[in-house]
Amino acid sequence: MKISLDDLDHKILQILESDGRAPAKFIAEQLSVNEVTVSKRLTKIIEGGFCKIIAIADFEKCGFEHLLPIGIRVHGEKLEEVAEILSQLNEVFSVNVVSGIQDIEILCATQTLQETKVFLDETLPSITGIKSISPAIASNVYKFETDWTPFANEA
Amino acid sequence: MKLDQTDKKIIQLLGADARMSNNQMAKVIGVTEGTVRNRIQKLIENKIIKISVINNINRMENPSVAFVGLDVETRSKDSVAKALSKMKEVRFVSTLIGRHDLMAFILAEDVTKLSKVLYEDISSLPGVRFSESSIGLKYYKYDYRWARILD
Repeated sequence: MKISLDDLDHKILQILESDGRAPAKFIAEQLSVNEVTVSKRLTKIIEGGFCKIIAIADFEKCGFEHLLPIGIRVHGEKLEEVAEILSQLNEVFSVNVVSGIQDIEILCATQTLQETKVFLDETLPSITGIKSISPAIASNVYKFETDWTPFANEA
Repeated sequence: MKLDQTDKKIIQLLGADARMSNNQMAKVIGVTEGTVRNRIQKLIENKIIKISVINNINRMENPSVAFVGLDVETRSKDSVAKALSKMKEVRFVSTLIGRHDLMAFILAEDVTKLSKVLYEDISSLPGVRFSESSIGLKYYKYDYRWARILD
């Protein structure tokens, strides 16, 4: 049986969108249902993999001053291998295999110019299979939405 | 605002599960419930964290993703960036040093919608000289705990 979200689930999520830490008791009162129902629904929503209710941190305010959107071209047969290696790097928080001018798009966050240099001049060139990189530094971020995201490989 | 070990622990715990109670967190970190409460309030006020509901994109039928690099007339950089930010399907916009003038990330409900955004909405923005897109095929990693918290 395929589980999906119903009206009540969506109403609960609506309240959580304005206050993600609203207690189950408060949500129950708002929707005139009982608290156990709210808790059960939350378990279904989260454990069912529909949504997560988490804190998102501002990487710049946490000391990661450089955001690097980098395009990478790879020797075809090494595509998956390179994507796996990139995914294991701590400073890389997004890896997407793409079709177009580039083969892989990554987002990387570094704390200092020194770290940025090491990443671009040492870390990336040391990965076998990378043909070329198109590096950039995000100078002014206008928008960064996170309400719809992939859930895979979060480490 | 300077972050200490307690702040960092709180960010880490809330990054895994923002429904964890102040009491539970206080026990794990070894501080009082009042400290946890105050710290969370400060972290949120200073826009260091944001408690969010995030939706799994696999709930969309045919999520279509594109990375777009744009070259624009220099004086139009800000207006193009603002116009892109207003588009619902555009999830990320930034000016760049290197590579292109601007970069945008698009998430559309399907390929038809994606091509409309790429070839109608974006190409017709005044000041856009050239754009280059790559279509997302597969995510290997995405850490949704990191973002910029903007107004």
